[in-house]
Amino acid sequence: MIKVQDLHYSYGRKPVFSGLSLDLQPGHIYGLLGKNGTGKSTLLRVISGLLFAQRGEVNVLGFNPVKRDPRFLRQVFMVPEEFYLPNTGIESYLLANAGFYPDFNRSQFDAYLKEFTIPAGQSLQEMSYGQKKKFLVSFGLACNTPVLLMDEPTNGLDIMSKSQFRKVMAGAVSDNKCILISTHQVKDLENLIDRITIIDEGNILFDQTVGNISSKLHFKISFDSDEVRSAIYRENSLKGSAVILINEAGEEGGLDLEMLYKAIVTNKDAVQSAFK
Amino acid sequence: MNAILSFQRLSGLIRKQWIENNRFYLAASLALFGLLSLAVIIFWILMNRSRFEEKDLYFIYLTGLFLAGTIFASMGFIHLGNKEKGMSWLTFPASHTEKLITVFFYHSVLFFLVYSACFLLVKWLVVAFVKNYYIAGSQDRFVPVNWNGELGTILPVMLIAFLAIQSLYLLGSLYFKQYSFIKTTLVMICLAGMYIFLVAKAYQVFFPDMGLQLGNNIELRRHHDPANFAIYQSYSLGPIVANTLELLLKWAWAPVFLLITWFRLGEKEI
Repeated sequence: MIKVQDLHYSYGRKPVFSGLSLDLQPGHIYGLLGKNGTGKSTLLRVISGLLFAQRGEVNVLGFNPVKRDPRFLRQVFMVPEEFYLPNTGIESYLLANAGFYPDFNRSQFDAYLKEFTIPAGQSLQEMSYGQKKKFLVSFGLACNTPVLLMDEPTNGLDIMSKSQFRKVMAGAVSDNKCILISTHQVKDLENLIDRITIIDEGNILFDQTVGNISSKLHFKISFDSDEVRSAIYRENSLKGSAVILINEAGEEGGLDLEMLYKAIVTNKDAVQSAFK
Repeated sequence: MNAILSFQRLSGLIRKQWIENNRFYLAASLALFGLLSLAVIIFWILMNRSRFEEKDLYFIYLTGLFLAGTIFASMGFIHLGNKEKGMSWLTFPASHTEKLITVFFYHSVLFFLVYSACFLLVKWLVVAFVKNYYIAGSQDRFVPVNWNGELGTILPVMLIAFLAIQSLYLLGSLYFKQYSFIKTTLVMICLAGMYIFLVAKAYQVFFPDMGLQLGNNIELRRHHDPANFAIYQSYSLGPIVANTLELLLKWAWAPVFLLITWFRLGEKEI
């Protein structure tokens, strides 16, 4: 569905990607994680055709995004971190925009607005930043585009809204949709994404499904000093030591995305050895 | 589905532009009407105390058309200078051709129609006022325009030039993120200056002893000698070449500028 091969991109002399390759399939919610400035937003913009690869190949749904073909654009919706909404009411916005997305579903859109508790008659400019973002997410989801790109979608959302966002997103995934969420707020996406891709210094640092991670790594609180010493990553807390262990016994357990992310950034080789 | 131009998408895009910007367009139309009224009152009524020539109104019309038109055209792609608006606009499911036609329609065609309608309304009001109240019973007089005179020749050429200049300022608004009106004006002056300089230099180098005559055709003349001014040799373009050249010089600028804008849109990254 989305195939990126040997992508090179730089801002002036500062390289962002130097040979990045990625293959994203429908039916998944991908979490794109990485430090600030590692190119998460740049990758989304390359996929949506806003930036052009300087070398390499990008193919989205059989189209080259660079051409910004309307047949491609109507199948891709992007919710940027900073976005623009015109000074109109919700109905006028739909009248102006919905017709361009052939699979837009009005009842779905109303249901998302209700879930996000956005009043139907409100003008877009009267909304708070968080409400605007929820409105755009609702519209993007209701467009039912095969590719949905989201850049830091939970930025600016309050605690309740983050929870609503997770609920809405969980219900939106389908076999023919590929959702790519870029974020550094990993906690917000826990239990939502099913594949984690971490990029760093222009390359893929880690790329695994949540199922695979759970079967290979074990996240737990431990009081056993031997266990803590053997952990591939550990954090001391008042409750004991939070550790990541190699899951040799195949134990069922939860996934702490934030810990995993820190483990990969600080002890990449040990984490990757668990997947070999 | 056509990837270049679909009339369904184009009409949808024109409707979207109206829905999202109608308040601005209506406010701009009112401002145009107000400014035109003010200009006509100051430069026509108050400064023409004895002879109210209708043709002067058309010179005010042309001056305003070029001034307001270029400012409005400079805002054609202003949204691309803003990251959020630009991203939303570029990823919107319509082709570059449709987006360009929409911007051209609002910032050139519709502007021209609205401006002209405002002018005709203002003209009708002030002419009626001047005829019936201002000069009634006095020695002052109103002189209607003679369309067979100078204005009848100038107006069509000026309207063609307006189309070309509008297209140039639209292109400028795509190239320059900020102050595109000023920057485009400066670039236009520099390019026009360079062009005139090069033509003058080329003329001096290649035809040092020939006189250039610009009439219905471009003609180069060599005279016997300074004392005998009769024509010794005369070179001019053939009628087909001359007519084609004239047509191109009149009409080609706007399509050329719009074509460059179209290519530039395709290259635009945000």
